[in-house]
Amino acid sequence: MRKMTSGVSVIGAGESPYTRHPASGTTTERVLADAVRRALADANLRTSEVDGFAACSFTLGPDHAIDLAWRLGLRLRWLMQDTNGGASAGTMLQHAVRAVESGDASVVVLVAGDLMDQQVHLKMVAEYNRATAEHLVPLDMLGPNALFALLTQRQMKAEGLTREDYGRLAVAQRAWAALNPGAVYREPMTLDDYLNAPMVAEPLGRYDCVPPVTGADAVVVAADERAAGRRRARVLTVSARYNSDDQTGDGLVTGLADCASELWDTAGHGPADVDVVSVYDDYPAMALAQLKDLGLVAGGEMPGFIAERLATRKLAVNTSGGQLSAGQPGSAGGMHGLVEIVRQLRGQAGQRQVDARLGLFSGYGMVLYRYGACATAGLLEAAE
Amino acid sequence: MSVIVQNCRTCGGQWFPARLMCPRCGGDDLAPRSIERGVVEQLTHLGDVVIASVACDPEPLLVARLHGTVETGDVVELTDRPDTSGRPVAFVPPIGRPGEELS
Ligand SMILES: [Zn+2]
Repeated sequence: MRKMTSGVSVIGAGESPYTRHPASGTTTERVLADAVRRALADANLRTSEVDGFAACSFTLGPDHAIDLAWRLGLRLRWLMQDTNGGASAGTMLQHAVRAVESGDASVVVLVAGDLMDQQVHLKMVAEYNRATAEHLVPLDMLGPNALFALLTQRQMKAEGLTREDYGRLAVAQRAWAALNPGAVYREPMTLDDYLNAPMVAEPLGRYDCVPPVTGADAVVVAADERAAGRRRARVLTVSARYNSDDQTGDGLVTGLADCASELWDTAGHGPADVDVVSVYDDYPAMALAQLKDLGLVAGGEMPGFIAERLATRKLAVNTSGGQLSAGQPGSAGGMHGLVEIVRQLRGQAGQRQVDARLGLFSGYGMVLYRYGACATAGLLEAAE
Repeated sequence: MSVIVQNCRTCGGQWFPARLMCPRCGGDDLAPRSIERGVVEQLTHLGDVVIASVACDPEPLLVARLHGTVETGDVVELTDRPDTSGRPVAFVPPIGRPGEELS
């Protein structure tokens, strides 16, 4: 039986500013360090108070989490290195809350990020895993766009969705991004802009694909007593599924479908209770798939949900602009959504602040052959 | 022309890319099996490159590059070598590096 998380909160968050064009001399470790420094400053803690550390990065090599900890001057009781890309925030948070509960650590910093210029990005997607190198790259297919074009076609057929529907989601996220100084694309976008953009792999156009950026995100996880009366984001529960279907399905159902009931049951809340949501939006189709798996929209009801809840921004989804407008900072894509939820719950979201007590984030990623195989989600609650 | 997939001799499951143990029954008696054709489920274009999801009967699902004139719903011949002869084929890069045996 799963136990609800007790007495563990996220007490700080930080993001190293995203950029499409990193200045010369930028390194992965410096970007990660910048996010850690900002998260600790937000939590009003010093590095000497950190005793747990977890890191995820595609481009940190040959260094590991311990090298990074050493260069940050962290002396630790608890250390983890994660490789789950877009799902890493949930993976690391799931481990960290239990570490804090059990007393193995008292203050844990989680960080993810990458230096991601075009050259690094091409190398990463070519060498993503063995199945990619052996079975996808020889097709003259670099990167996952074509795979998610095929998946999006399946979703359009199954859910009765059109390109306009996906466009409304992208346009709504751009409108949120306009309120986020940290988003790389903030200029207004219309549905016509979306529909008339160059085709990448039909039905996916330019605005269905995330812009790779250099950046990093970090959060500080600690026992509630460390928060000492300050606003915090209490972790109610975290749930994960890995390789839920051996890549034998249509990819329209993620592992989150299996997470959902235990998430809601454990936390004693339902989908209707959520005030702010970050879902992993590597493509609009995946954002919708996760919203469905988590119970925020029922099958067959997506077009109406998009028009009435997302396009109107009545439901606060991906309020940072998401990766589609804020950018995809390599492995920090999942952490980006968690940082946004923490900021919303702690009242730090500036112009895009919504009235939020309960926040939900999800991560998704690691394309094995046909679609992603890692799925994580967590519920957090504003607390004093 | 064909593509070699794994066939589990215990449960009959068919897998691609290669697994180390059968995801369905946990067995490790995985033998090569030739599959000659599949049905194009969806296709998309990356410039001139046509990428498709191809379903074998009864499994597995393959990611392939289409050559020649092929449409969604067509039965297409499978090949594990690039084929630019103009015939309608679906190219699926094989399991194992050159010189390596399957399983
Ligand atoms: Zn078997």
